[in-house]
Amino acid sequence: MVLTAVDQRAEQAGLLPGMRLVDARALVAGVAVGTADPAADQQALTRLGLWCGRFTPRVACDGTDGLLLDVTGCSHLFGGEPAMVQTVSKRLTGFGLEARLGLADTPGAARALARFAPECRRIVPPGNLREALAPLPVEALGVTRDDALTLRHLGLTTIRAIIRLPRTALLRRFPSCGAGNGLLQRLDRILGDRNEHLSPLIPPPAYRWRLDFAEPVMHREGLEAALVNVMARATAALKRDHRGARRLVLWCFGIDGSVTEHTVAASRPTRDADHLRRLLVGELETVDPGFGIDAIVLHAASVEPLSARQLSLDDGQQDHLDLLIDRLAARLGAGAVRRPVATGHRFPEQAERLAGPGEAPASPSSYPDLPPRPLRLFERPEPLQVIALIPDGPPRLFIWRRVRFRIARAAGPERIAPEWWAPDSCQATRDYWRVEDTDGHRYWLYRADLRGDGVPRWFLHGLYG
Amino acid sequence: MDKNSRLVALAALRQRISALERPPQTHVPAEPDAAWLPGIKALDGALPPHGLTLGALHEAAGAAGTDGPSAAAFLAALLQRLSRRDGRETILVCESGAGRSGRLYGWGWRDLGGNPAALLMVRARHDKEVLWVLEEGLRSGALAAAFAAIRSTGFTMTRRLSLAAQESMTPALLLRDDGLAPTSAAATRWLVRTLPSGRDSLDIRAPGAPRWRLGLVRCRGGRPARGDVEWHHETGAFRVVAALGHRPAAAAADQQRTLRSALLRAG
Repeated sequence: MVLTAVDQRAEQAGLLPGMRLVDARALVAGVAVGTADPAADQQALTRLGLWCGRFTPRVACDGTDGLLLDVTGCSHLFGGEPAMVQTVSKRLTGFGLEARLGLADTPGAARALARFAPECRRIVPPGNLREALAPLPVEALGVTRDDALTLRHLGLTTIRAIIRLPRTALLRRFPSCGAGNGLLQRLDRILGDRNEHLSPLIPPPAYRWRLDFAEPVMHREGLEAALVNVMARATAALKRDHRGARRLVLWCFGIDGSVTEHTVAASRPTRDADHLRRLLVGELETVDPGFGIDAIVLHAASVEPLSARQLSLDDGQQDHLDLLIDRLAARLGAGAVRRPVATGHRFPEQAERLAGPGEAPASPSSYPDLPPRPLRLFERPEPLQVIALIPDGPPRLFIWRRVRFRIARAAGPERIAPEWWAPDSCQATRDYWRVEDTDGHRYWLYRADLRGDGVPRWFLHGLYG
Repeated sequence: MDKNSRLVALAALRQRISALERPPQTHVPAEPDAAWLPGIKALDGALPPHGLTLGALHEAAGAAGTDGPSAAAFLAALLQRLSRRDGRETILVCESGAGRSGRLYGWGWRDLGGNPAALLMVRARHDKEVLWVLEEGLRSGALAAAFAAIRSTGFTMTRRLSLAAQESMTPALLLRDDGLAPTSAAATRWLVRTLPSGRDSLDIRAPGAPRWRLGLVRCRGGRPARGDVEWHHETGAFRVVAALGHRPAAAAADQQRTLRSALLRAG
């Protein structure tokens, strides 16, 4: 067993990552050891990255222990770059995290500075990149371990030494190995001569609005008021671009580092502030502000073109209906609001499907003519005990939920066979009876030989009115 | 103060009060051309002249525990008598969970004369949610009618629903399991009892058109009434059941005999 990470005190005691556990125990008796969990580490890093979404929309993970924040155009919100670095550092320290922060013109340089530069020289003002990077060791380039070793053997220990060398010589010695990992590419990227792409945790959104609170908001009412504010800005922006939102995401940033995400969807693109706000307010009911929420970000995750429309001639009934469906779906869940659609299958429970409201409604003709069906259908047919005079004759009495029902009238049987074109169907042929008991209640029964042993079983499948 | 001026003052006060009582209607949809009536003399006479009020709550319940599906079918049939001319088609149907009596089936709705494509089925978790859905649906003003099935509710909720229905001129149909025991603000309340059906015209042994004994136990602006009716979905009309239309006694006795022998044989 090997140490993968050590804390500050362990480091002072002489323990290093990569050391064997027995050696560590020999050095420091009673050292506290925990099992490494790289997956959880990565998750925690991603969570922290999402939290950093409060500083800038573009955050990316860097390896297993770094985060890259693209603060272009964001730093003035925090009072300039040095102040921003301080803010980030203070917040991270508040969480009990020890962080090294570097700030430079390129992601590679920032990464190198954060990892290899002394603390006083980790923030580089624009244009001073070469001077700042020059004294750093060659490992700061992020080259492979072999390349770094070769460079050291050649006596090239700092970036300054490499910058001075002719490029052709370098290219010959350290050819690019496919994925742009060669020494020269690294050098160009770190100096900003070649573009470096970040893959942000949150895809860059076009429509995103944030609101910071001077004091943390402790109550839902406060959040709702803030939502009105943000929503007004959002709808103004959408209106300007002739767009409507299909899906909205609201992030609430708690001061304890928690981030909650709330998503609502509309059945049609809309920029009706009141409607969208009402959808989100339903979601906010589940928010526990905890120690307080100090920022919210609203993000239109799915945006579609929506031109300014004239009110339709039917007084906007369809609009009202869509708004109603959205409200119901936001509160009850997307699967709770549906329309019945005839499918063409034979078995009654498959003959009708409940489709989402967005799907095209069925035309009335798609329900073909069949013997009368019950108004209420049991999703799961209920087993019955039935007495019939002759084996294949109409039932005369049945017992359902321990109550006897005497049958006065019966119509049937209507045979519903499995679909021959669906060979995998494990259904048995059913004989349906429409029966009426002596009080006039009507039931839909069926008999099926489920086990294939010649002993039919009876079920109640529906109730007529 | 002479009598005349007192009358004038009273009239002015009445006007003010009526203005306070009736909130200004936001949008006044066109009234349907035909009044919403069951089409049975005994019941039509008991209802107000314009028939069932569009913007109001109408309740129905089964007279016995097993009459629930019949009450639902009656309300569905009543909806077929409603014709709207303002372009609203969708009928909201809300039920809580998969209840003990299954779910509403589009095919059965069609066999009562309705159009399943107009249904918007909403599944809620409990009565409170069903009532919320119903109220939202009524307030939206986009529905032809709203239909909900619940176990029971109190007076306050029915008043809320009545107001919401009035505001948008959307009829609210509420199916209750509690036999109409609690008081309610509904405009009409119906108690439905299932009756044995008549003969099917084609098959002598088959059940005929559904028959119900309707009790209009409460009717605002009308009077209570009752009547035995049959629903014919082909014509979309109720028909009065003749008093002598019941099954002859001999047939029932004969059936008892065969049943007993069947029981004996079954052991």
